[in-house]
Amino acid sequence: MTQIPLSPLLLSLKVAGLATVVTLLLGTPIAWLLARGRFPGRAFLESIVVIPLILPPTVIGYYLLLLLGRQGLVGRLLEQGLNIGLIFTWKAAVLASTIAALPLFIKATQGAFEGIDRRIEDAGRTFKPALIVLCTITLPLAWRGILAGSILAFARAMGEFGITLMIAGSIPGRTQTLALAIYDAVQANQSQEANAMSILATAAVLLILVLVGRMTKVKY
Amino acid sequence: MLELALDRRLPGFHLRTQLVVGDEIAALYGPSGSGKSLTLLAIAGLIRPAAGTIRINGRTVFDGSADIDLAPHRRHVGLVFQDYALFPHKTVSGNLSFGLAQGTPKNTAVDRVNEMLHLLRLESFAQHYPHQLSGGQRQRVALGRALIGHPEILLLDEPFSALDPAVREALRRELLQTLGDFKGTILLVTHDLQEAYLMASTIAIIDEGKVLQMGSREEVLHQPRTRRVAEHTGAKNILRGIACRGQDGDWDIVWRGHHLRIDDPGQIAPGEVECCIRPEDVRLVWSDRVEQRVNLLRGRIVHEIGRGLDYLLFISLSDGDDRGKYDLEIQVRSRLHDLMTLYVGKEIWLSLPPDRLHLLQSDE
Repeated sequence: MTQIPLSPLLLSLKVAGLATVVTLLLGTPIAWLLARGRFPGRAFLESIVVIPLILPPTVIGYYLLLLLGRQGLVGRLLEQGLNIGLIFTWKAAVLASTIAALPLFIKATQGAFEGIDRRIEDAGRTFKPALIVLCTITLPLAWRGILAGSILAFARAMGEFGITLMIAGSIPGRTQTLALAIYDAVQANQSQEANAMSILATAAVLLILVLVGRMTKVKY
Repeated sequence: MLELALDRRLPGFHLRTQLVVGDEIAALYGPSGSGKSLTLLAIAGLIRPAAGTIRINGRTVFDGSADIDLAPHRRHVGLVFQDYALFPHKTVSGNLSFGLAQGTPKNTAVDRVNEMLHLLRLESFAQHYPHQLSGGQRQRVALGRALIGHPEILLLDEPFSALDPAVREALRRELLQTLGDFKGTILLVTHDLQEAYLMASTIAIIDEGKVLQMGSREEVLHQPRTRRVAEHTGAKNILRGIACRGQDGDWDIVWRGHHLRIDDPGQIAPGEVECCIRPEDVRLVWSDRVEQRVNLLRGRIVHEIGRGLDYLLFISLSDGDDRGKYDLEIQVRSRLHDLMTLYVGKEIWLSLPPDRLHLLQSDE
């Protein structure tokens, strides 16, 4: 029996988990701004946010490569200023997954914020400062949408392929995530490994979905 | 005590409300879209007027020119929203305790919530969520949440519109009872004139963002200042005539050839004037008592609407000038309607009591 390589799965879980956290932290304020904010450039921000959904992943990956590579504007700053090499590391994989997951997360969360009756927040504001209303009224009321968005983000991150391949590569043991490893296995005609890893990926994602569903029974 | 003068332009709408309300229940009455709810939101600090001032018990909470704009929670205003806007994810207790000021000690908070639950008769519902309550119970929670922090003024936005008509009556009485202990200004927004009259001692009529008239409920109902107020308060009959002095020196209003007496001519001047009379104030006169009446008219019923307890009759004056539409709308109780055997086409006598005929000033 062939040995099932576990390291791509672990790497995928780590990358997707981190990407989900980053997406959550970055996407929630943006979603709130889009749902509640009234500022010039709102429409522009709204269209910027969905770009990763429309452009081919390889194109996005290519742009990122130009931007973050050794010769790229940001890449040079990171490498020379902070001594951080991003390209072809697992951090680049996290970045790739985050960019792929953000639009899905923002759309779901924006919908959740927009679904809150504004008068409920207004009622809160007559009693408590706006920040407390945000934390005790708005976020708790939106959290199911935020959670749904996070699950989408995680699923998208687990399946990320194109952008990751472009900026993180497919280095076995270092940046080869599950999706990339399955592709490689198929390319190398190792159907048993491909089967095993596919089943593994399916099981892992299903398990997470069930767990999340269990934790989030609502009582109101 | 609430003093406000607001100015805010919105697309197609100009809000410019001016009000002074003492420690009483005052109603802001107007049709939907008249700016009454907007006025409440501005007082609470949830929308920002472009200019003007808002003072609560002498304390300035908003002043456009001095750039004072207190945050809503610093204004000490209790606001009850139209559909109550309870927090769906908090229990009744949770909703109530949210109304307490930030930093209230835990023990005090528990006591105050219990006290309020008792006052609202909701002790056994403390752990219920809003969706498990009836409309009336929700209203009580919303009221309790607004009152628990001891606001200086209380604003009620259409508090009964979310309820079945059947329970409204009982809840009005209940609300008045609960509010009995509240000593400050209460401002109630409603589009139901009867509700305004039942709940408030003072009524302000608002339309198109502007207060048209403010006064005691009797005054607003029976002495509308202008034609627009009369139209809003249901003084449906507006008579356009000529004012002139009669032979005895008193003022007459000549309307369609009839010399009408008016008890309170106010500041009348000769020339074209308008006066009004409510449909329920026009009297039907039995034909054998015609001599005893003033402002006597004869007319024909051209249309009637039975409304169960009363009838609306539309009368065309029989003065040879039948223009095919009606001249007066009158309201009679069904019992009288039956007694006098009224029907469409019948000629009747009617009188406009001089004490009920009210002179209108021209709209400025």
